[in-house]
Amino acid sequence: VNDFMNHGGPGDEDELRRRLTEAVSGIRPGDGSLERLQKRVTARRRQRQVMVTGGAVAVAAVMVASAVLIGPGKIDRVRDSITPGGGGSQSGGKDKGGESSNQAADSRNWPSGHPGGSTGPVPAGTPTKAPGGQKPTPTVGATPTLSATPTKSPDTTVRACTVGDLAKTDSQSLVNKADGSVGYGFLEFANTSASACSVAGPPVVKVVDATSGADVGFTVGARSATDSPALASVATWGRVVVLKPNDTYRFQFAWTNKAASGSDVACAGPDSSDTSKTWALRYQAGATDSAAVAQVSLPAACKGSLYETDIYLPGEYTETFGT
Amino acid sequence: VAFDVVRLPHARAPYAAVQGAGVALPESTESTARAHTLTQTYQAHYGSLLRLAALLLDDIASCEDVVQEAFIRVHLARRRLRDPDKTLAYLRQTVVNLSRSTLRRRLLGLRLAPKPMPDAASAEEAAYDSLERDELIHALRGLQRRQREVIVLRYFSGLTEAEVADVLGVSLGSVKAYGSRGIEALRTVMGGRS
Repeated sequence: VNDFMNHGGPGDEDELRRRLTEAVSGIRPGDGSLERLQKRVTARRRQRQVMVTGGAVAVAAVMVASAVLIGPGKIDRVRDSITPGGGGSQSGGKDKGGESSNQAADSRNWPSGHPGGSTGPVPAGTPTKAPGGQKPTPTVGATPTLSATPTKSPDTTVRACTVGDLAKTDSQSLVNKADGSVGYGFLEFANTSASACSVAGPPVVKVVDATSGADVGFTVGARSATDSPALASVATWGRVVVLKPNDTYRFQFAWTNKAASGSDVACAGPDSSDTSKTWALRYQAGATDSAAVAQVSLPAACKGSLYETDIYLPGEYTETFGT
Repeated sequence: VAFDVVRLPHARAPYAAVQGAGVALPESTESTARAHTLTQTYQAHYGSLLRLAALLLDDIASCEDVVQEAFIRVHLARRRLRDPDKTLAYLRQTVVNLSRSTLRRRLLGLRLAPKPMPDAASAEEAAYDSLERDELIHALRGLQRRQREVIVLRYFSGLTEAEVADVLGVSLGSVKAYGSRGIEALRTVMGGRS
């Protein structure tokens, strides 16, 4: 009976295989096991969603409770400390209103001739609602340079979105001046993963050589009412957005060929040193990421400045590039 | 210079446009696709994994539990799978790991007695009875856990020694050693009985 027990016999292993297969050959899935499996999968998925949602709600409740206990004065100081540029860059730390914050931001020494500058289009992009009740906290500085690194960590209860979670769902890149020296655009992304994840603003963007990926030296700055008024007046800077599966978020950008440093002279025509290559706007999930979330071509003729808004949810702001 | 008036669209790109970009499908379409994938995977692998579990465990009720749990875990994590073509390999590994956990729990005394048979059809009872009476199965259950796993994966699932090493997370040499010692032990036990 036990052929495979014959030491060194030619059928040892084959016999063992046959015996094992034969022993369990009568075992079949029980009746309704597929239906049972489908129900269990659905139930487990719901259970996970409830856990994620419940966790987020619990943390939100803790944060609200903490805010109430700590008090508004301390909250302001905490917020100042997480503002890009540091608390010292605030307008005396007493800036409570969005308008005055914007005014402070707008007083920077941006080069003239920026997208929709003082002689440009009428400001547009009035917030239709204030997301999360957050107040604008722009950086105040002498140069348009900013650290395009998220200054607040993504919500710790929800994992941070990775490059693989995000997919570009919509975008636009426009040239808005006849001489091709100014342009506006936006990018929209969706969370394509099966679970919720969080994204932190401001968007990490840079202008790169589309071929080599090397930074071409555009100065990146935050949107301001005087320099890029056609961009939506997004009231936040460094916002963290939690995206459920399929949720989307956006940010807008504007560019000008006027160099941030040096003369105000726009490049009158194609600059042979700068236009021999195609440039692209590169958006990364993090400052040190090697992979880009998205890269779109930028029709700038030569180097200049780039402005961006914080991230926001579609529909939160009126998105009109003004006349 | 006047600017063009451009109003940015709020609407999401149409389904057909985003499908190729790897964007998630609409919920209803995605749930249908998920159910279809689960059914396909079930039809292709459920039976063989159930039989694998039957060789690693000792009662058919636990086998169903283990295989269903493996399907649930792999199905819910399928977006994170590095290689979706290796679904069977992931399922097999999960079945082996869950079987091991089930046996360990029993050893710890949490579930000493095998679970009673559910309202099973007579055919299943017959298959289970047949399994219980099988001399080789009895001998197999007497082996050390690793030896049993190597023999079942090698000779029932038809994996190579390298694949067995991969599933069990041990070296190739260990697989060879467990396999040869396991077969030797089977020979000894069954030789003694015959």
